[in-house]
Amino acid sequence: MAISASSNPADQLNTKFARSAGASAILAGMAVFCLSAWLLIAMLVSPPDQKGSPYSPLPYFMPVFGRTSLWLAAVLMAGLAGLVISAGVRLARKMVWAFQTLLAVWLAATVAAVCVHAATILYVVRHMDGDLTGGTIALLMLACLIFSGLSLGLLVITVKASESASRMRYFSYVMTSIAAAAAMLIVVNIIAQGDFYRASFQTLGAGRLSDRTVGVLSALDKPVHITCVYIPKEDKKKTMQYSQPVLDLLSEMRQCNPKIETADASSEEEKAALVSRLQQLRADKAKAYVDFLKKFVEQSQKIIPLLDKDKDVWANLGEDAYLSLWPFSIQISENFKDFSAKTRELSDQVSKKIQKSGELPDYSGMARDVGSLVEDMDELMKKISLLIRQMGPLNEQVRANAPKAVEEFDKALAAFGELAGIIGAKDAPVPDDPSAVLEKFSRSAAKAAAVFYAAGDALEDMGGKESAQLLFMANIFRPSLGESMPSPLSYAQLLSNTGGQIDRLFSVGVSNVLKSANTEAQKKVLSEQIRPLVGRLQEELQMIRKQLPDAVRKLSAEIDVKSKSLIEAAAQNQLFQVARQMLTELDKLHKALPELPADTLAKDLEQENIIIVESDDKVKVLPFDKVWPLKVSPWVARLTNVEDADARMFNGDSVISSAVLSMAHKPFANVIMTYFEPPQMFAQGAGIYPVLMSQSLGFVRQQLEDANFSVREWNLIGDFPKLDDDQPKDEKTGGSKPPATGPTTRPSTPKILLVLPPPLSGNDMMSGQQAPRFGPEHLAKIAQEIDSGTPAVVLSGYHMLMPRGFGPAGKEDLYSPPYVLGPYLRQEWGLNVRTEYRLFWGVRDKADPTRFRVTDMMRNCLPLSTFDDHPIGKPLEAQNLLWFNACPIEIANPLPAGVKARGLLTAPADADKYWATTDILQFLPDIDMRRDSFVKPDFAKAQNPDLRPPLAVAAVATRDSDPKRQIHGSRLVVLAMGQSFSDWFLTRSPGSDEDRTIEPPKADADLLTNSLYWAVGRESSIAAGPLQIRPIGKISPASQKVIWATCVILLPLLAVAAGVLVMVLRRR
Amino acid sequence: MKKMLTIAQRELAGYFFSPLAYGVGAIYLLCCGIVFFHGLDAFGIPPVFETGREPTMRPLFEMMASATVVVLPLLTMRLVSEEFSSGTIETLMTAPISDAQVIIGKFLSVLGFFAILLAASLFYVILLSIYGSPDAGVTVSGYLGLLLLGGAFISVGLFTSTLTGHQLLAAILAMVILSVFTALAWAVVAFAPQPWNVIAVRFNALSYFRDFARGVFDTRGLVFFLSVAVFFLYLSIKMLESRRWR
Repeated sequence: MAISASSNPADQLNTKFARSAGASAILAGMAVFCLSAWLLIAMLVSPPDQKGSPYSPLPYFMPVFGRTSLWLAAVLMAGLAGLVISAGVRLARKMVWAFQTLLAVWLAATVAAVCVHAATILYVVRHMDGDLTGGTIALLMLACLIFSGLSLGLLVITVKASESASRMRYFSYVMTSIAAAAAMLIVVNIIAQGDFYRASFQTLGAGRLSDRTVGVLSALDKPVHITCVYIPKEDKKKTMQYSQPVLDLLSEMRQCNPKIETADASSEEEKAALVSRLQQLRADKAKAYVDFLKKFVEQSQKIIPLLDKDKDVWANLGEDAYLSLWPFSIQISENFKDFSAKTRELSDQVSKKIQKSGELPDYSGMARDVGSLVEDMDELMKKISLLIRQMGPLNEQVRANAPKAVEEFDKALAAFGELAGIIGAKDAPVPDDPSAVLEKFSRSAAKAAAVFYAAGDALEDMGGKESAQLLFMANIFRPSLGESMPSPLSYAQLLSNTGGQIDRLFSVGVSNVLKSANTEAQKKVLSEQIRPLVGRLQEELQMIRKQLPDAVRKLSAEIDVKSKSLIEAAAQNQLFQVARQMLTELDKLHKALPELPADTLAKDLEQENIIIVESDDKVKVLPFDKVWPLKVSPWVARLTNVEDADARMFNGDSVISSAVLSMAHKPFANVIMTYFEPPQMFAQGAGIYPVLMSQSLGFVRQQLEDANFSVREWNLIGDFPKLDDDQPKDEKTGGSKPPATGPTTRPSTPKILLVLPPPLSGNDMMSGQQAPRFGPEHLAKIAQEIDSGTPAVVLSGYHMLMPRGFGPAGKEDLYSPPYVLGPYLRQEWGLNVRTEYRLFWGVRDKADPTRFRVTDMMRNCLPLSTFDDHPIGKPLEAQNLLWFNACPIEIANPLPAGVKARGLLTAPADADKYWATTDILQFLPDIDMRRDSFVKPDFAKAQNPDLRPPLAVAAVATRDSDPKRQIHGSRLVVLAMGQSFSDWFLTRSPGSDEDRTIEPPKADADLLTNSLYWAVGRESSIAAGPLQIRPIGKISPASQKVIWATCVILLPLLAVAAGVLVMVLRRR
Repeated sequence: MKKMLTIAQRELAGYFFSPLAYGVGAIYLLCCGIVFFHGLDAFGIPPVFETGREPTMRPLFEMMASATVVVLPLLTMRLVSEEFSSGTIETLMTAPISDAQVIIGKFLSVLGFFAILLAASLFYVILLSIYGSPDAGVTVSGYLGLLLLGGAFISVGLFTSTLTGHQLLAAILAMVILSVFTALAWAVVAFAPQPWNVIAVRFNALSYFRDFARGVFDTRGLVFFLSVAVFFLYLSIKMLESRRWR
């Protein structure tokens, strides 16, 4: 194209078209101005909290952009309108800058219109079943089309304003092509954002979502919010190192299902905001609790002054007050003081917690504390009221009954005087024959005792029969026997006790003396024991008698005003009336509160580095140790002196998906951990040897719960555990239906037996003791459950016993007790579990190929992951699995009718290192002495020959229903390495291999979980656990230095040296 | 194609005759070495080579990606600017070669040099393989991501180089534009409200790269890097062309 050579810029514009373009620009500018004015007026006239009138544009834009952004947009539009109008006027006068400006504006508008148009079309295509109606979509498309058309039209008119073959025309074309390229860039990216392909390149798969997680997340039909709260504190680098994989995983989860919302709270402020949101969420959920607590705070403002007032009333009764005759007043005052303080403290605490943001209150705990305080206060006030109510009548009764009681007392005193007279004074001469005196004394004593009992009763009932206890509690009704020592007994009790003494000592005792003692002895008893005792008692009685009138007077005196008012209030049920009404109301509210499950959320949130999973109103906190478990458990690390005891592995995929699964779905099945464990007292020393204890399966139990199973226990000594019979819900996690379960009534949540190996019964000396042993009745219980259609996973393994006795053990001492489940498994399922054999592996000796070298590590663990083609084992094939005490399983041929069985995990025939033997003592001593041991399997011996591979150590079986035998179809898995699932094995390193510590085989537990999934018909949930990636090994300090120097110094220096060399060579 | 490769070859050779390339290379390797051993506390980048740590090049990849915002403009600044300032542009314009061939040739030369720089870091991969078992997929994906990111960033640098005859100005301009795709996009994502933060995510080149760095191939990242590269190359061609009619 030839370019015009004119030097005058105005010559590059066409007058006619420049005017048209200018006029168009002015019109368009005015239209934009009107739009901005419309927006501005709508913003000005509508209050901030309202969306505006039906003609307002605000309802359409406010939800997306917000008010501030709209203000900004309106102002910008007005500015743009001004610029366009001004440029339009100038273009009409052939100003080049106006042409360039308008060209840029129309290009931008066209690009924007095209992009919005493309985005709208894509949105409509992708959301055909969305919320938008056909009318709205059509309107939106039409608006985009009109806007694109207008922009394009204006652009064309403006381009036409340039003279053909001029620089301006060329400029227009270039600018247009650039704008088109920009539009394409944006549109292509918009398309790519919507229709994308995402795949993981990871060969080890450490940060990839497992198939199971993808299944769980894909099936989600409600939003789940996951927040990563890893806040860097002391060791920022370490926290980042731990948080990054979590964030990556969350990002993948979000990509997998948009219903997963994720957030990163990596600062205290963000955590506080999160807690505040949870607080609101829980407050909504626990509304009744919040209302109750608020009511308490409100009422406590009224209760506290009442308590303080009552405290003062009781403290200021005065010493002479009638109610002060009892010790309650001070005690009551102290109680009110305590309650007042407690109420104030609790009220402040509750008030702060329910109002303060950033803290998650334990509503249930607070309500419990308040309820308890309210109940205590109400109870105390009730008791005090009852007590005080009795005090008025007591006063009147004392007044009425005192003369008679005093009279009775005097009679008793007189009777005692008579007794004293019979034996004579203390210093009177002792008669030569004391028996007569003593006989008379004994007879009279019996009569006197009765008088004393009567006097005691009269005094006890002085305040009325109902108030005897109250009278006893009065300080004044307890005489002083010494100078300062008040008697712990009341007047009534003292007289009754004295009557008892007279009866016991003087009547019966003296009578015995008369019968058994001689004269001299009788003399001695009379002079040295009876006379002094009678004298002392007489003195005491007289002292008490002297005090009695004062007590009677005070108890029967006119009641003082303060006491009277309290007694009258109590009599009319008005004592503490106001406070008690409020307390009763609070107590009722507390008792009517709906049950709120025990919640540890507040405590869980205090932990560092947590992940919070929320779904509906449920919240689950995943602690750091679950997401990043230690590779070796701390206690094992201590015992085995592991080098890097702090090393952790990432288990986020499994833990987070399990949390999502358990929150969004009800448990898949009830796993019934079935075992036979007699009480400890029987098992100890009774020749019962546990093979695998239920308590030692903590790791597995936790994993099963995480895998959405509910774990129950069934000790075969007792009955089958009670299960919740929940109604089934619509579950979408997939998986084939469990096998037919038969016509019996069964809970909707399926159950599955996890049968632990029964304990072994030894034949040592102690085994004769009577202890419950696994018997046919226990086997029948298991068989009955399985026959009724309950799937089962049976744990078994090598079972051998070395009896305890005298002298060294030999091969002949080793014996195998029968595997009690063996006959059942063999006959019903065609699986012969050879528990007397143990699977071994070794390295074939090159010098003598018939023998194997076995080391200590080889003895402790059997590496085997050659799974047969079965869903259970598929995800585990690449895992580092090690087994302990595995025994072979033989599959019968032919199988029982209706049974299909096959191996699951098998040492293959071509594997040149496995064999099974009963004769383990042939090499164990050598291994124990840390020597290399060469073992020569004997496959030809007559008795128990060693077994060659293939050797299955795990097998699966299915059985069809058999109506004739009343057997329902079921699935069964036998894992003949049961001891490998104990905490002891799963969390400890089994040893070291070539100076490298072998990681604990935690993935073993996945075999059990997967077996349960399969048995219950949940193949789609089968997954593997955390993948263990070999970390960077130990680097010697010398190597470290050399590598550091190479990387940090040598490599950059080489680059510089090469540069210098090139420069020098070039200069030459 | 042949002419394009000739230009690329010539430019690449030019790098090896320029002290700047060696300087940039040395600094780049020094930074990599430091991150490899010590990490970068300020940016929360952990060390790569440490006993007990998972053997992954990811921290190094992320550092390398961030460094490209500064390093690549330094490498691209001279590509066309130098031609302007030295006057050789006229020779180039009159040569029997199209503007597109010139631009793409220059682009390939920097991409080649960048690939050589990346190749130097394979030494670290070898070290990791000796002392651990790094995920090969993640490593390959990381390098692929770096090349794609580098391609996009080089095209931006090349474009700014066509704007001015001052090399430093071109470098600064490129850094500013690249900061929009990195730092500004990050800041908007982190601090701006919706919908701006959602929109900004789509412009964040480093967030696309992060997927590659952890072994995830995502067509969104691929399309973003390629489209940006193509767009800025197109702009560069048009800028070079404009000298014919301006």
